[in-house]
Amino acid sequence: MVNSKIPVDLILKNLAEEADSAQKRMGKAADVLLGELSADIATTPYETVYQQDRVKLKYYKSQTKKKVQTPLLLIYALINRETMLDLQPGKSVVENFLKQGVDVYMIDWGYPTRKDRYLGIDDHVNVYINDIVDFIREENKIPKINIMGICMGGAFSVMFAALHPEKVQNLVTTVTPTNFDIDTGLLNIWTRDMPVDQITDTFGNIPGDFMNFGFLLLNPARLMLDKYVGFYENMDDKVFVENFLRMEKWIFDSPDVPGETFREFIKYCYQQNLLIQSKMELGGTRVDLKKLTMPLLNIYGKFDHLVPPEACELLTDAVGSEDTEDVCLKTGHIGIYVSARCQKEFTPKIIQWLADRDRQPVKRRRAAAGSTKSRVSATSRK
Amino acid sequence: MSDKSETTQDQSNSSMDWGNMSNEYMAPFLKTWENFLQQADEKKQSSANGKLAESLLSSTKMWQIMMGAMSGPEAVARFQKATEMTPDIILGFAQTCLQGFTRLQIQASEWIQKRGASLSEADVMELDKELLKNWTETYEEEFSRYLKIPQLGLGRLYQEKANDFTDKMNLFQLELSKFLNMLYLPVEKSLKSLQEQMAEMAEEGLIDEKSKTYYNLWIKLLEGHYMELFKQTEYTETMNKTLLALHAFMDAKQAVINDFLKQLNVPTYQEMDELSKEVYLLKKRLRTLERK
Repeated sequence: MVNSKIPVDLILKNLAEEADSAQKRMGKAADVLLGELSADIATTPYETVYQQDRVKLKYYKSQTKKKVQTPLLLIYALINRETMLDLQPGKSVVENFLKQGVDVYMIDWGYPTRKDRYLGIDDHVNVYINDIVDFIREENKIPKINIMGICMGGAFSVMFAALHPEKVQNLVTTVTPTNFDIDTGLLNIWTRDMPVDQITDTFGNIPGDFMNFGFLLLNPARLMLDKYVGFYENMDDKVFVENFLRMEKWIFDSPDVPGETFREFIKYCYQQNLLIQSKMELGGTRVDLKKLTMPLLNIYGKFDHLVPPEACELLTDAVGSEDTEDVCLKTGHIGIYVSARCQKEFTPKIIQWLADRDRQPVKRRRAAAGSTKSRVSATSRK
Repeated sequence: MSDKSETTQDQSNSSMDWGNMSNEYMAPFLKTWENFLQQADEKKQSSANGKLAESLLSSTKMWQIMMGAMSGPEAVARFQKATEMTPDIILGFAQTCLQGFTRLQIQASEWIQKRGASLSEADVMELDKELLKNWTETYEEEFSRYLKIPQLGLGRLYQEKANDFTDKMNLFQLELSKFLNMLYLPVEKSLKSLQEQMAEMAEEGLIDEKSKTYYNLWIKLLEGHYMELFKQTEYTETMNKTLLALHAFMDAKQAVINDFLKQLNVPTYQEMDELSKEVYLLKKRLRTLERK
């Protein structure tokens, strides 16, 4: 008689148990899915204070004592929506700022239509962002404002700050790609020889679904399969389901990207890497990073697969500012804004950094700090 | 010989007889129509009725003239000569068709030989990939050209656009199949790797009783194989070819749609884009002037 090394009896027993637990879970899941679910996103109250074409400006007024006097403008990417920064109470970057006494303005880029296909980066930076910054300056009667850019919006913020340094008090860039000549990011590899002119001519504006399909392809095993297996395993957990739905709502709420902006961003940034070399031109003016002289805080994720650290970390050395800081957090592209751990690290760091620069003039701060250029990783900070 | 001439003579006579008979048969009808028209004219009937009657009369007269001409001895002789030639014409036509068919058969067998020669032993191992590659080549060399045959006449432009749309759609489908086939490769590889790892585990007595363990292992393997694939130049090239094929297909589709929209008096994308660009440039100009 041969002794089998495979515990067939145990395997069968486990399979039977799993089938039983799946049946019970489905019963509870039906109650959860058929019951009332709270999956709203972007629930923090705001006022739309400015609108130009499709672009709106949201204003969130802090109700507590101001820790930072200068208002902060959040500039999100043109891909997906800014609602990610206010996903849900307790996981909201906006809410964290308000609680700490920072008045927040946030650009809502809206949903571009066919007529917006000719809008390029110049229009977004030198028209929309510029006009919004002027509006906030006038409203608050201040010469400069604080700006925080996110991903592609961060790249726009860098361009704006270099072209209009007189309007920016402090600049915070988060998961912002500025160096595109890297081999660690799949997007960088895929876009290298991408027929961008033909794609833009084909679609006019680049459809949000097309972009989303591209992002899902970055990791199909996890994003198209394992994620939903995880959902199936937790369908009986109401809180899990609500959080999952919020994220799904955000991910697949994808406005189209204006064709010309897509063309220019791929061609001049991803394919020619002009921004970090200070060779990019907007509206006939060169974006010289040496003219970016205000304090700069550059935050990025160590495990970011869309914008790897290598794409972010050259910026602080390329700019003209003498007060710069790199912070690498142990998280991914989205986790930096929504993970519970980063809620405790990300916004408190920004608020403190802004508050420090809000109180004292640059010269006094330099003298107090001694060294002004620094690189901090999440590990060493602990 | 004498029999044949006798038969021919008989046929000529019968043809003439038939022509004369039909003329005699039609004559009373013609007379009746003439009388009817005369009466109608007297009663001053509507012009529509008059035109109909005139047309019928003219057709009947034409029939009578034709029959009269055909029943003459010369016409009958010519008709008979043409009938005698018919078997030769049919034979010539059949020969041409047969030659064309044989030529096609030879071409087809040469093509199959060529396909077979290009398929190496290594290619057989990647049959699905080779199948798509061969099918693409076959389509481009053998089928696509039929859709590029120049069209003629008033609708030639429309027909050419429709053919181009069909051609570009087929080419896009082919490129998309290659791309999807490539995306499926990691699934295949990961399942194979999983089987191998499970066999090793079984041999070492390390088989886990929880199914989730194998799922986690498979997902990890799948993720790894995808990462490996996505960094390959071949993947990027296939993706870019698919995008280019999509561009060509959408362009061809738009050309066909534009024709329909034109007929319906609906502005096309092209027209709307031109208008949007004009508005965009005007706004830009206005902004510059305002700033000055």
